[in-house]
Amino acid sequence: MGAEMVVARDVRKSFGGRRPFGGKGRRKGACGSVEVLRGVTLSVGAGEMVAIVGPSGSGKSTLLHCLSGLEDVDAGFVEVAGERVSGASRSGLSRIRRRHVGFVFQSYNLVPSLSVAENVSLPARLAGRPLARKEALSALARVGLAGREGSRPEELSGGEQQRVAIARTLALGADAVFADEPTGALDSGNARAVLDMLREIADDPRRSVILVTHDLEAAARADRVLVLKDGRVVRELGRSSASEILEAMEAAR
Amino acid sequence: MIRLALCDLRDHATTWIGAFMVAAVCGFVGGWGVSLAETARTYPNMQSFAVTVIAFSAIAAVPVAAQTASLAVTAQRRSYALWQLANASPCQVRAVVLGQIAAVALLGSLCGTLAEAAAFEPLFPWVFSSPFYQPIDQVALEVGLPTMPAVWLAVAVVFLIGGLRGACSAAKTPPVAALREPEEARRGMTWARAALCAILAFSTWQVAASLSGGDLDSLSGSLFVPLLATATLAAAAPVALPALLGAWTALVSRGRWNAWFLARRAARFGLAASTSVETPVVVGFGVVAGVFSLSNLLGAFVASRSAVGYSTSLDWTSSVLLLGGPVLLAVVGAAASMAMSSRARVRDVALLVACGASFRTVLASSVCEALIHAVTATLAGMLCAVASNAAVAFALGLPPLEGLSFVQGATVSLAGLVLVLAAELAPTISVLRKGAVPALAARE
Repeated sequence: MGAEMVVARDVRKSFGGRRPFGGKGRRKGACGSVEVLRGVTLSVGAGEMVAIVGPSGSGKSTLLHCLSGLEDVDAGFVEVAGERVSGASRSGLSRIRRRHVGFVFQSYNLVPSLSVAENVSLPARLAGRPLARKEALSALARVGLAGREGSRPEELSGGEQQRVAIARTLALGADAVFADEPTGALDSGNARAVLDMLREIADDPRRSVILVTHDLEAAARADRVLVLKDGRVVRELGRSSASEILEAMEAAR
Repeated sequence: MIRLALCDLRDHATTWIGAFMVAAVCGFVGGWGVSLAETARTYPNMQSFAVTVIAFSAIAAVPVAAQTASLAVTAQRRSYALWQLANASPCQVRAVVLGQIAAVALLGSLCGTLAEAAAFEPLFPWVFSSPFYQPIDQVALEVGLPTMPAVWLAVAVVFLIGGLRGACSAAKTPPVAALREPEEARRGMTWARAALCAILAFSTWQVAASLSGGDLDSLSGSLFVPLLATATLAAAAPVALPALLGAWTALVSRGRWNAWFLARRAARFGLAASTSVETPVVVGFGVVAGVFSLSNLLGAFVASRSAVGYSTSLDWTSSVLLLGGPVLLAVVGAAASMAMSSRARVRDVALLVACGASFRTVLASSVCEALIHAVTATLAGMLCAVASNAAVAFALGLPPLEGLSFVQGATVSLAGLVLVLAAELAPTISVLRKGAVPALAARE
């Protein structure tokens, strides 16, 4: 494992706190709120792929959103590529996302008004270093979508849209790629292709991938697996087979 | 199905409230025309006012109401696809969509006419406060409540015609395609729309040509030229406005500024919303600038004939009577259309935030998009004013640009821009405050 790319210490997050009587604002962790993350600590090194698994409602996606700066944490410390995410201002968070973070969502989340090539070059463009068209096309070629640069997202299949999302992170050169159920909506062939691409990104010693998944085969491609339950990391496994991960999850229940 | 339709009305309240607001303004403007017509039964010299007000309001209301209804259905594509997945037959979907449109149009126009009935008595002396119409306080006002159902019916029919194509499309489109594609595929004009466009263009030319004798007594008919010219462009709006938008925005470099790049792409992508936002401003600008330009043109013509006793200037009362309805419809229609498409806007802003767009870029993109709509509509309205002015000037033997004035039309554009901007910024700021995650999660 290389230098630490993503660090989280004692991360806590609640949703739905009621406004206290006579008080201003929303009190986190107050009566009626649900504490989704209860002190998560982890670190992911450069050149590493870490999978986070756990039952529904265990806080996997919330953890990913907190690590990537899409969601504020209530307490704790988060750092990505040496830049502090927790406590950063809104503009600071968007700067960190532009510089260091790439996302792959289950529902692809491509911008529908932009062409495939424009979607690929969008984060780099927003980061103030517009890609040459050649670079965008090269990223698309790497994910097997050469010739589809002019298409609109809705003209592509789910697997192709997911590959565009991966090409976007490749083109940006994101230090940390956060993938939330990236294979959840894909058939087995496309899922395998997407996992191969994520693995390829993680094999770059300057980059890391954090993958949230229900798919044990996908988790088995990771270097480490964290089992999350009720907002806490309850088990940590090294490179494991799908059956070993399943056993660990069942033991954690 | 009734429960489904009611739940949909509740869940997509923003969309239907927008349609309701436009129907209410149509009802108010229509009710005003009816009240004037009813009052004019006792005062025959007011009858020409009533006819002109009804004609101006109707020609302005039809494109605005029809586009709003069409947008309301387009914005609901996803819901209608989900209904089909729940085994609703295409006939049921079509019937429910049309039922929703009719209900919203009837309810909106009912509220609009009721508001007008309450406001007619105080509004009448205010509108007729120009010295030429004094004394006005002896006029016995007649609101004409028994005639108001005609307004409700007319508004409902226009809404139904506007939403009919969308309703049929919602019923025919395979649900999976509707769920997959966020925007309906771009289509050209139907034959019916093309025929309407041709008829309106021909009528514009005929009315302008009828002035060629230069008979001073027949000049009042020229007022309908800008109205018909604007209606012609409004009928061609689904084809003409996207082409105009694409053409002028291409002149501005898109490589330099991210906000402009994103705004242009968004404006060109959401064609139904873009057309629906721009059409009311086109109507407002075209009618106002066209009528004021015509007033200047006729003034120049009367002066060239050294005629005495012919007034061509627009006083307060004439301005409000002729232009009040179109202007009200323009600004409310544009803002309502923008608000109705806010759901898609929320999703797009969340996607940009997730990609690392700064708050400044996202806000600037919203401002640029509002500006793109306002400028496109203004350019189209200017075309209408220039065309109608040139047609009348040609008939009267004057230079084509004689009397042309865009100042009054620009106030409509400005009001439209302010309201569109407010409607555009509200969902944008909401996403920026709440963060992208809820909006992205809502999509899944």
